[in-house]
Amino acid sequence: MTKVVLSIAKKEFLDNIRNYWILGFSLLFLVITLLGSYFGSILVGWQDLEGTIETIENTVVRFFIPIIGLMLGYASIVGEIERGSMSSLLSLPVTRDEVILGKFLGLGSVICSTILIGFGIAGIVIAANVPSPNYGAYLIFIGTSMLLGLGFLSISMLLSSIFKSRAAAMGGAIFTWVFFSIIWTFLIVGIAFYLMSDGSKPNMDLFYSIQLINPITAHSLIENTNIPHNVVVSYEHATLSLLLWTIVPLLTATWIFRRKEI
Amino acid sequence: MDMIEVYDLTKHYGGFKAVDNVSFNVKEGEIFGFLGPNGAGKTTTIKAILHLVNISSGEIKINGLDVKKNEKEVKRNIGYLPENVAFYDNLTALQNLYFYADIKNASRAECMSLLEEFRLKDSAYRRVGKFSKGMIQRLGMIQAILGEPRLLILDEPTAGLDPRGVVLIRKKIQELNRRGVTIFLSSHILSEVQEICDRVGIINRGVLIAQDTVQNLSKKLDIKPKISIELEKISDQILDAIKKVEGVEGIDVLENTVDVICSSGVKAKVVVAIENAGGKIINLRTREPSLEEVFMKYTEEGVEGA
Repeated sequence: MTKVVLSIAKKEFLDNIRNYWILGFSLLFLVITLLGSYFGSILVGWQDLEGTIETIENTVVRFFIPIIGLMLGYASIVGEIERGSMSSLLSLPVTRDEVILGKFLGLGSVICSTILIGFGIAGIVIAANVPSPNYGAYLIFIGTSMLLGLGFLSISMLLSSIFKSRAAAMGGAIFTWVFFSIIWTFLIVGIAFYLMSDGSKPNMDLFYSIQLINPITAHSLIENTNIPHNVVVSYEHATLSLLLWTIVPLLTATWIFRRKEI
Repeated sequence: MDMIEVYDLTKHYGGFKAVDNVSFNVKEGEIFGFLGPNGAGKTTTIKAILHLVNISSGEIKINGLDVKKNEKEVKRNIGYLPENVAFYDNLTALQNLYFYADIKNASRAECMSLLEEFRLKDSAYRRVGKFSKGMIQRLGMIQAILGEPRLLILDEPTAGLDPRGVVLIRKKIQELNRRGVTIFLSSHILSEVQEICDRVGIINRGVLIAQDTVQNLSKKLDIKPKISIELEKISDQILDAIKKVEGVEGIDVLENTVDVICSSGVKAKVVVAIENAGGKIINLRTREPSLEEVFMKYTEEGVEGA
């Protein structure tokens, strides 16, 4: 079981790491993080790691990490069916569950290495330029960013197992991105206005609880120290949200793929 | 002992019946040809055998085991060349093969020797994305026979190959069969099946028309081969020479082309006779019975021998 899964994971990693997009994203993360730190506070020079996190949360994390996850996963199943390599893969002594798990691990490592290289190198450069850097917060930031990427990978693999063509899965991935990173904001603002429409003060607890549902805003809840945390809105629950987004779509994808016609 | 047993296999795609109540068996150690035109249900049947599609009804066993219930165990003994085989374009030929070898638990050394045997050694370190159709097909064959499976399922194994490639694959199939490998191959070319198979299943529009030995198939068809010979110039002298050849059952002349009806063993004698009479052959084609003629023969006389 494990050997087969690792073989598939390794193959996926090798097949995708040569993708120029992935190299580009790594570089992009590095550059944006460094710029974010250097120009984030132009008056005092290099910004501390914690300050840098808040600056890049709204650029790299919010927009690009979901894109990487979706981009790597949307074709992972339907693309291979469409091209024809899935037939020979499934004629080997593997189960379909092993194929999904192997692909998730392989593509997940691509995401994790992209984040690790991009943010990691930037972190080292920043740490060398500021007094007493807060490594802990930065490591948590890297960890939760990986989890966010894995969540979107999981969603895109679900899309890839549902749709019957690569093009349709791509459409689904684009919609997912637009929904979680753009439409969501309008939706939340709309809800806030509705709650305030009777003249009462908006229930901020409810507002932030809803933000737990979206993996992107859940990630912000972990990183943004200005948001009041309470019984419902907590680091633990935000992390749990990211974990659920990683596990539930993947399990659903497995369930669908077991019945899929190749 | 049967290597493949298919009982009452039916597969619907929506309202379309791709395979309709098909039953057949492939014996251990034989080469079984699955013959039919494109779209007849060959690939669907193969996919059902490998459990790549969910069958609507019926039962399939490989080596006595139910495919659905013993998926991994069954697949350990199978090598499969799909129709339109595809690989991972970003990886080299060798990286692709290593991937298959690892999962099949085959030795990595086998990959290189097979690449050499299939004339792909020089491309071992090239990305598969740059390969031609024929190279992909040969790589597909290597992938299938890696790990020495006991059963080979080949869906149109010679598709997209040049004549040299066709000979290479055919020889390999026969060599593996001599070593005891059971082979199930699909084809839409009658002569291909007649040349290398022991038995044949004939499928048309999802229905199995016949299951027969190739010997019986040829006897039943009894369509005399016809050779068309295009000559530079035709003379009575040449025509007389052809007619005198023993085994020639008739000739037909159209402009510079002579159609000769004869058994295939006589072909060479006809050519010699023409040349002795001073004729110059420009082109020579062998005309064989079409699949339609095969279907006609079998449907006219009912499904016998199935």
